[in-house]
Amino acid sequence: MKDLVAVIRGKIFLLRCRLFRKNIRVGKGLRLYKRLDVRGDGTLTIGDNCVIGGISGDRKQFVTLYTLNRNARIEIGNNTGLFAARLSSRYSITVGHDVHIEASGIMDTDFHTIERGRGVPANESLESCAITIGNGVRIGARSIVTKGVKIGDDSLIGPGSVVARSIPGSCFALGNPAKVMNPK
Amino acid sequence: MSSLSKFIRLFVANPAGAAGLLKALLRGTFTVLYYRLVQPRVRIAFPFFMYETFRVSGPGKVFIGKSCAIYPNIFDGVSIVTLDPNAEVHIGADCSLGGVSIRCRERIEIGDRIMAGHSLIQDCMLAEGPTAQAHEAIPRKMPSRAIRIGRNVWVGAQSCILCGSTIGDDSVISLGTVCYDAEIEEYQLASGNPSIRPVPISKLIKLQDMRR
Repeated sequence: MKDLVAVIRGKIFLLRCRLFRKNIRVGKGLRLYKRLDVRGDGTLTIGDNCVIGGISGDRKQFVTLYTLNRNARIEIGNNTGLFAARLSSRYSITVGHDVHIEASGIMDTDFHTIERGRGVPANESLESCAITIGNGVRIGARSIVTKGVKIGDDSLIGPGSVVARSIPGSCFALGNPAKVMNPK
Repeated sequence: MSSLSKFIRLFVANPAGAAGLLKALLRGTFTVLYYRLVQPRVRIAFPFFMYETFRVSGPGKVFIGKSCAIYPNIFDGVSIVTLDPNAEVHIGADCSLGGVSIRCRERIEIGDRIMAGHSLIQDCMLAEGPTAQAHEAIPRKMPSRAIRIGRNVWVGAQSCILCGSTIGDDSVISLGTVCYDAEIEEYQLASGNPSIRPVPISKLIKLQDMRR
């Protein structure tokens, strides 16, 4: 029953995007278990067979995909599951195929400078701030991925970690800043 | 009888607090009855004080000792999710929990007299909900190891206790700590993300005395 409702919600979302929001491209078989909040007029691409959900037991959780300006870009691959993930992009976020992201934040900008004015940061660029998350990456709950990070294929980010530097492929990383550990 | 006299004394001193206590007890009693009737795999001992919401979901077993209290927190009440039919959550007596979310795949044992803030206790790496089981990309069997927390432990806010951690009696987990596979012995203070080197509290107290 829940699955059926999710499929129908996905179809309605697809239709709404086709009709009203030309900047959003949605693949086949999207399932919406929880609310999907999309804002901004950057380009957003969602692949086939994606799952949008929240972690069971937690209320008030929904997936947010924010693009902060026209040139911002979020790309999500096929078979990806976003569970209460919060993505906000000013430049570019690329999420690969078969990725599993739980209640964590991914943001490719600092939003403000450290100076007193708290203006828009000037030294950021697309090259230095783009986030790439490889295929088959799994990110645990309550973790944060910051700007300019590349996570290699098939690696696992533990819960509660802050990923501030790039992580190579097929490894396990945990901590603040996230470092590669050997999983016991 | 002594508890009744205590309550009367509380009522005289602080009527609003006593009313809140009564309301919490009533809410807790209804919750206990609900779980006894509807979900017998969740067992809550009788004096159960519920100041905030309390939710259990999933197919596993949950045992909660007597006179536990769920206090209001900035975010939410307590949510316990069992992700496997063989999962078991044991919570001891006299615990005060506020905003804890427990996600259990194998076994979580929590001793008596725990104080816990808004924290996450999770014995698996990923807590994929029932929605994710339809999702074929993720392997169903993630490595999970049991968590054991001793008696009289203080778990700070925003901390995560992850798989394989054992925490001894009378220990303190400070704010924002992430315990992954940590072995914390009795009467120690753990801090850091990830927590690597816990410090004995008796040593800390000695240091404080020296500074004075």
